[in-house]
Amino acid sequence: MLSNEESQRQMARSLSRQSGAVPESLAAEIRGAADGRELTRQAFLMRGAGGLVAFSSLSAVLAACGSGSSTTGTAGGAGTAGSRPARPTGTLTFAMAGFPVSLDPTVDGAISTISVCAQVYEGLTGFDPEYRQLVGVLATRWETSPDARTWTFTLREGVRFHDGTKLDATAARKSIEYTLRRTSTFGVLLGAPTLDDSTPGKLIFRYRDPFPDCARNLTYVGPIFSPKLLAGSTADAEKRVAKQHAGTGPFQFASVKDGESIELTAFDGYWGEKAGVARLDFRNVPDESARNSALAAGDVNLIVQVAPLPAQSMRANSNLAVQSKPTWTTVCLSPVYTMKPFTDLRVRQAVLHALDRRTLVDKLLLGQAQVDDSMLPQGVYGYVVADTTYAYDPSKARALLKEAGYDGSPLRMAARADAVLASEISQALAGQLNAAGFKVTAEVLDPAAYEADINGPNPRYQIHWNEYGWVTGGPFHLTLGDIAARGKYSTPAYDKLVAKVQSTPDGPAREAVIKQAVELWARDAAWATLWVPNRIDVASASVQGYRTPPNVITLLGNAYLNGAA
Amino acid sequence: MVRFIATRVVQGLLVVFGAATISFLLTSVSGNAVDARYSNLDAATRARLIHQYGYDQPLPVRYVHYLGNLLHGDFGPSSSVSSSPLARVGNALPYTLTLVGCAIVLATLIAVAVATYGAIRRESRVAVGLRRTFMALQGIPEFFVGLVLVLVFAVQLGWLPSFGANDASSYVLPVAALTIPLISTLTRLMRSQLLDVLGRDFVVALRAKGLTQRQIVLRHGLRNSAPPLITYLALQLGWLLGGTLIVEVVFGIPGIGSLVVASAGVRDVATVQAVVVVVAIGYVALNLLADLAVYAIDPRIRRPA
Repeated sequence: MLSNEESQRQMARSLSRQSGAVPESLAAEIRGAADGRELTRQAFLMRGAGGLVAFSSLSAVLAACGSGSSTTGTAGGAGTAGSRPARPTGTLTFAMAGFPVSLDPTVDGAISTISVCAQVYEGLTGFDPEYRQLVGVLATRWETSPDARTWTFTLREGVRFHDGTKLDATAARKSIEYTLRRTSTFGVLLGAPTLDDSTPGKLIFRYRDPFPDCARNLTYVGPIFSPKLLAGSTADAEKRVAKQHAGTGPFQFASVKDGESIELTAFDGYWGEKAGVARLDFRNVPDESARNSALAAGDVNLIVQVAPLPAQSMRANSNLAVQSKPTWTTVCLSPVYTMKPFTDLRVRQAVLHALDRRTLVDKLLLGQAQVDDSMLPQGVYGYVVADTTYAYDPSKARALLKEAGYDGSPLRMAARADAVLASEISQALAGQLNAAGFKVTAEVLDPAAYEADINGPNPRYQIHWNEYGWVTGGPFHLTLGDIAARGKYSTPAYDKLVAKVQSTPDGPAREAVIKQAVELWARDAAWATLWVPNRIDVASASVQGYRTPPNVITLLGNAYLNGAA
Repeated sequence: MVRFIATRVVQGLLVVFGAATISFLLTSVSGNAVDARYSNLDAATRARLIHQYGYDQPLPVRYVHYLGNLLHGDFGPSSSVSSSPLARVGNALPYTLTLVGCAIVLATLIAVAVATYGAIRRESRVAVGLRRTFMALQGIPEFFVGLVLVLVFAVQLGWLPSFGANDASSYVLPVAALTIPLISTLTRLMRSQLLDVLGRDFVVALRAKGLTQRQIVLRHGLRNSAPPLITYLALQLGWLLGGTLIVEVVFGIPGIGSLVVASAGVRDVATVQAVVVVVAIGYVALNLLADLAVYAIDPRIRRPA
């Protein structure tokens, strides 16, 4: 049998006897290979494989080196905190996970939109720095009638918008009416009040039915715009708000480069404590690893909602400060109540018994979440743990399925692609359910497809899971009813309790009704609260004064840069 | 010449028409943007928005309106922002063109230099070493190259920015990420063409006349090798116009790749359609330019059959 080289020499001799039968370049290649001056295929493959192994090893080494410039460091950053500068100083660069689709905060609720607009627009109410109680922002105080039908907000005096216009009751009224317009995504959270600005310095909300969450919901919706933006028709106002921006916040818009960056500057005429930094530079960095690299490289100062695994490696970097705090968010898994086999309570109970939430939190989220047996997250008004709980017990789940006569029909589970660790959590949940006797396949859908399916009348997915932010610090999703609606969960008893929660003023009576609703939710196994995740924000060590909030509203007015002169 | 150009233009228009039609059909299949965008609308508002965006019309009627509006550059209202889709594409396109143009030019210069050196000093260690190196780099995807470059030059060394398009230094890493995989293919193509040309009979005659290898390669070899390279570059450039989205997303460059990813995520079909049509037009235009360049360089094409 001829060796490789021998056969090539024979081919070369054969080629030299032929003229024009093959391209000259090819013939030259073969002659060269036969003479040993060129790489043979065998030699090339061996050397190429060796080169690939060497390159992969080099890349792994570089990747490990690039994860941090220091092997020591404490969480929270090193170095002493400098004092807050007397005047706004320096530029804080914030990496956004996507560019806002609109800079009208009544249209889009994406994190990037909220992150930018929360620095420019304020509402009537907010939270104290510890997020323990409601405080006035553009309202100094408010009173409510005993039946929660009338809310009277006293406006702060001496507040001016970024365009110099003075805040008064009429401006506030027009802003709330703008939020209440039909195409606003958030108008539903304010109910249907009649607004009265006839009393100078006061804005009165009058509801036909009790609306106990008015002040609480105003922490999230109802930004106050300059009346100059809202002049004319609604369509004119929408165009103006999208392009021009004038609120009362500590920052004002300086420039917007579509898809790239948004720059805000400190507002000298701010009614409260002036911002700590002179400029906020919001940069669009959609890729998560690119954001992490940008922070490590010092190109940005702050990234928010970091996944647990990269945050863990960032803790070792003394140039970075990691803040991880429980949120007002619940991650919920909902079987669709009206679709078989989940019409049977035993099957729904089997779902809850099949889930080992502690293991998921420890392994996937690295402990950066809390297992919770309540519908509501801890810290929000009305938080209560149900008496009925479902311990992890796959054998019990199997017994329940057998009793219910579940025939092993395949089930599909959907998740949003933009959820944290969407694929990993989906696979893990499906695995646990399948181990308990279900037959579930998990799919991750882009957000629009997910929403279209679960909000539609005939969803194709029998189970879905999602994150729900109780952003107002109250029984937000309970009164809104969206989690129940998405799971198609509705019973006369539950609906009656929800209606009572919606109409009972804050106090012991309302808390008792919330407890009844939570208890019924648990007994019905309507959906499962998987956990309450932590929000992990990472900043460069030079950033001081920034506090991670429990909701999605990032406020940067108090942040300043250590050492900025 | 006129007939040549006219034929190419007609073919190009057919390609653009096909791309526009396919993008319309595919985006229509995905459902209407109003329901994807809003989940809490009352019936009257939903009906108004459905009518505003034309989703209440039958598909053929919408298609005819779509084609008619296309001639005016009107892709319909963007469901996301108040800027027109074409304006958004117009804002994003310079970033992509800068990125892609720099990558193509750099890759071409390096590939031609390496291939020419390889042709002149064919069996030198340097030539063989370069060839093997580029071979090894050929299969590495751009995003991986990009991530490694960021880790080394931005995070570790701090020499260059890790993302953005603020200034010239911001483009170094993304251009490098696009260029490195491209060099390998171009080098192989150029070298193969050069070797083919250098093996022809007329080169023997040139050697007999006394020209050196360097003179033969630089004066005659490159020119004769150019036509397929130009054609390939035009195809690559057109492909890159739509294919840089991974690099743009990784490096946070607000080009048309990032724009189409962001628009698709919020079902902004008008912007997605605008990107598809603009890229198709660019692809056709570049191919036409390439054909004209080859026509100018190669006299054999100008001769009647």
